[in-house]
Amino acid sequence: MCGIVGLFLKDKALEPRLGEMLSEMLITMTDRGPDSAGIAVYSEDREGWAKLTVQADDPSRFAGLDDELAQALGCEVTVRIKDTHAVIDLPEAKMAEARAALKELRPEARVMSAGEVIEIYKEVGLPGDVAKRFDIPHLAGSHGIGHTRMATESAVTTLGAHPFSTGADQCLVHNGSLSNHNSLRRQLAREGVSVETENDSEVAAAYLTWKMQQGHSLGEALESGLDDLDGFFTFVVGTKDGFGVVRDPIACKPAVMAETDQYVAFGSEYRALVNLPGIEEARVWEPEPATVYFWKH
Amino acid sequence: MQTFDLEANGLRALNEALQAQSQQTNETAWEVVNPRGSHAIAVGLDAPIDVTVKGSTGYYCAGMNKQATITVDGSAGPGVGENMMSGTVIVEGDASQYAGATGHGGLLVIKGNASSRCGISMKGIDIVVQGNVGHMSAFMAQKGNLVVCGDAGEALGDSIYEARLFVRGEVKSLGADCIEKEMRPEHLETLRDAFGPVRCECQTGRVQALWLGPKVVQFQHRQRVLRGIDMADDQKHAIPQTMPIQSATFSPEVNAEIRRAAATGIYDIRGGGAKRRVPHFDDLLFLGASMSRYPLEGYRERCDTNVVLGTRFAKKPIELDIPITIAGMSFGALSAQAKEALGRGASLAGTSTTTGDGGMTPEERGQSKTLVYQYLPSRYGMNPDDLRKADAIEVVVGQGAKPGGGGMLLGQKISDRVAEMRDLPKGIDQRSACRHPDWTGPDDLEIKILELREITGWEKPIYIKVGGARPYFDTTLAVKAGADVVVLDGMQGGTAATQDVFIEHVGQPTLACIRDAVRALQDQNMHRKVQLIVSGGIRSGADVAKALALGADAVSIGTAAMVALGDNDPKWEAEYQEMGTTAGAYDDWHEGRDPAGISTQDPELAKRLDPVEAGRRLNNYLKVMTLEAQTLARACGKNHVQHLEPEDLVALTMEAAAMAQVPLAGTNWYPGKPGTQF
Repeated sequence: MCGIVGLFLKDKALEPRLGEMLSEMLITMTDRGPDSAGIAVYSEDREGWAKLTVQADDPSRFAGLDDELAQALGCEVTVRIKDTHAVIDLPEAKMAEARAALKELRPEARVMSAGEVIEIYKEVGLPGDVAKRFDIPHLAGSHGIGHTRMATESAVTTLGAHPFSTGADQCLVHNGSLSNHNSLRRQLAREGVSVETENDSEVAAAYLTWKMQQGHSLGEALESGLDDLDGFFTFVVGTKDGFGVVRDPIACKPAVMAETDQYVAFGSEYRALVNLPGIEEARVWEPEPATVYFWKH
Repeated sequence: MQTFDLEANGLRALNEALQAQSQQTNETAWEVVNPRGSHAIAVGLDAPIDVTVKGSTGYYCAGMNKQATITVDGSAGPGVGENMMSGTVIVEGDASQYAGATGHGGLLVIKGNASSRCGISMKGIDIVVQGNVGHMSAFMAQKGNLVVCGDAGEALGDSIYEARLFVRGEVKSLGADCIEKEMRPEHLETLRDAFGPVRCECQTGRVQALWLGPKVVQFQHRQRVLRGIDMADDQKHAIPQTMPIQSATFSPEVNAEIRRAAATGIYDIRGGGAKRRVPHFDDLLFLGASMSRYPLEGYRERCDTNVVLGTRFAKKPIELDIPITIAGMSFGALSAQAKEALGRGASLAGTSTTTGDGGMTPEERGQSKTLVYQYLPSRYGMNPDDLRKADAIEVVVGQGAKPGGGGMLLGQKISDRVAEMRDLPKGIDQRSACRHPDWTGPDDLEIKILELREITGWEKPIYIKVGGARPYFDTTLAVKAGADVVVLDGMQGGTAATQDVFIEHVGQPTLACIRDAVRALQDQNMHRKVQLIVSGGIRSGADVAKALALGADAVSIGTAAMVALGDNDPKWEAEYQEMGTTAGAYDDWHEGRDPAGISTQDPELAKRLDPVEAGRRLNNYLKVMTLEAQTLARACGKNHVQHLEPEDLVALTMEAAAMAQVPLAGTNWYPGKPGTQF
């Protein structure tokens, strides 16, 4: 049960303002979810480089991590610390090695996202506070997704906050409540896909990742999700260069979209969209039930 | 022209100003600027004024409108014109889902497209959509006309009653019970009558009357009967009846049920709550006082019983003399005499009564000092005037007898008056929806509560009633959605009519729900700030005291109140026998043949119940329960019944110990106690 926002920029001139626009949209949705908030931003793609966003309850644990990782991996590594999160920039080829090293060096650090461009910031608290803590308004990027959570059945924790990322550069946010996530979680575990939390939404994210591992496109994965995921949902998902939306066939959870030459925007409520440039002239519509919408750079 | 800047002056000021306009106001033209998608704009208006909102709106714009003409110069969010009674609402752009939901009257014009569930549960409103409508439009539509100039989505008119739907374009699919009918000249007349104002405006070029002409196709209902399908009268007596319930695997009554099902192909419907034995308050005992604790003297030393409900947000919380309220039971399920008796008894005892799924009757309002108005998925008889007459509003999300299900009222009980109050056809079976028509989930409920508070000036406590399903989460979310009071109904809680399989197999025993709900309140530091009312199988002062000791602020009774009025009284044994049952086991409340005159709409049977006498019996019974609860509280040394604690209790069985989280008698242990193993 939550508020969702998403912004996919077509106009590169807007990219420096992505974080600012997305934060403002998310703050408008505060009433829909007072428990935790999170944002995924897809930023600049540096050829040959990747990044890992990690979280630790005690940020002092990030001290010296850059040197230790550089030594372990034998390559250049930079660590940008933002409150409880740290974004580790490293050569793409070293990603698997880096995750293993991190487990050794900082076992308590939790991976929020991994990929070439994705950064995920999420914490317990209101969207305004979370945006401020991580300085989200100053983040640039090509697209991003935000979420503010009213927890239904699983715990209010950092890990339980959205967006969920279960694959490289993939993320998902959810408004609704799934009714078959426990059996699906067990099925995914048998397939070797692990889900860290008790959260129903993370199961949906893992399901899509699993489908894409099998060679399906995101669009195809979302299509099959319409059959396999039971319950009420509006999902907004991100990939390295894409942005998708799907609602369940009953489509009770709210969703509004707007499109102009400059952007495609998503909001749980129209209020989230009112400050976007040119919104008065935008095409505004509600996504149809059981219909996959997808945009790609 | 009055111009109101919503961003600068706020929603409360806007609605207050608009709601204060009288019939004779000279300030007839209003303009609202900077709406920016806000919710509950111009709700609960009741004057012939013209309001134009310059921009797009959020949820529930023009909700419960009367008389006013409200124009949204933009697009409208979910539930525009919901439950409107009269007046006109015009949306220049598109409308989101639930447009005109449960509307009783007036005209809603949507110049663009309407999303899903347009006209859901409509009760007399006329809706014109110049574009398309989405799926499930006119679901459970009762009365009124929906005109769609474009296309209609899937399942148009599912479970329709008497509403008429006119579509010019394509219909993706028709819902159950909705059939295409011939368009005859009188239908055009109906449309001309209903949409006269639109037609007039069309001459000025504001609205195009696209709906007339031979291409328009009409859809109406097919008569539905849930019970007794295709069964001639002379066959009906041959249906094997469900016997009074015993227990065992293939007991005579199980076999009787199998035979009944095999003979009819229809599931069993009945009233009441779970009949199977489940761990209950009887399995708990109070420890009382002796050497280590000191008891209070009966009668002489005070032991208070008052309770205040709705202290969190409501300007006018409810103050009751006793912590026992009367649960919602509808006029329709019960006779007018029974409803009046409940009001009389409750008022004498200094407590509240609750409406039910059928609107508020004048008898009930008149006889009830404190009346809680239920806000249910069906919205039968819902209107802003009764809402404002209520002392509190109870948003019903679920019920212990059937968490996850909607109610039923079979045709036998839909008399002229019931039909009129509910905007239903007489004598046709009715089922209520399981979800609310214009919100789903706590994030949306928060906005619905905002609308209700805006319409009633933030005066009334808002209760949220849930069935005993996942009490920890449900209570937590009710608090997050903004409840003043949480009502929690366990599986022994009754219903007027639902499937037996639902009553006996869904939900948790009342005893198992309380501690989790209290823990949810405590975890949010809301225990005693958001009050908890527990219901489902409360029968005596001992039950009351035990529920309070486990953390409830008050309890609610339904079945017990009916028994106090005279339900299942052995004096009608001969008549029970005729119906194949016996006093105490009679549960076919939906059939409306109650010899005691309570669960019936038959005027002859209803006459048997004297509301004054029955009210007196209910008052006596409430007094006895209160005295009993005080007796137990005094024995535990408490000067207020609310001071009872879980530590004052022990359990007689392992099951009760586990559910109530109090020690098994003679031990300091209960199953699941932290730090212990079984």
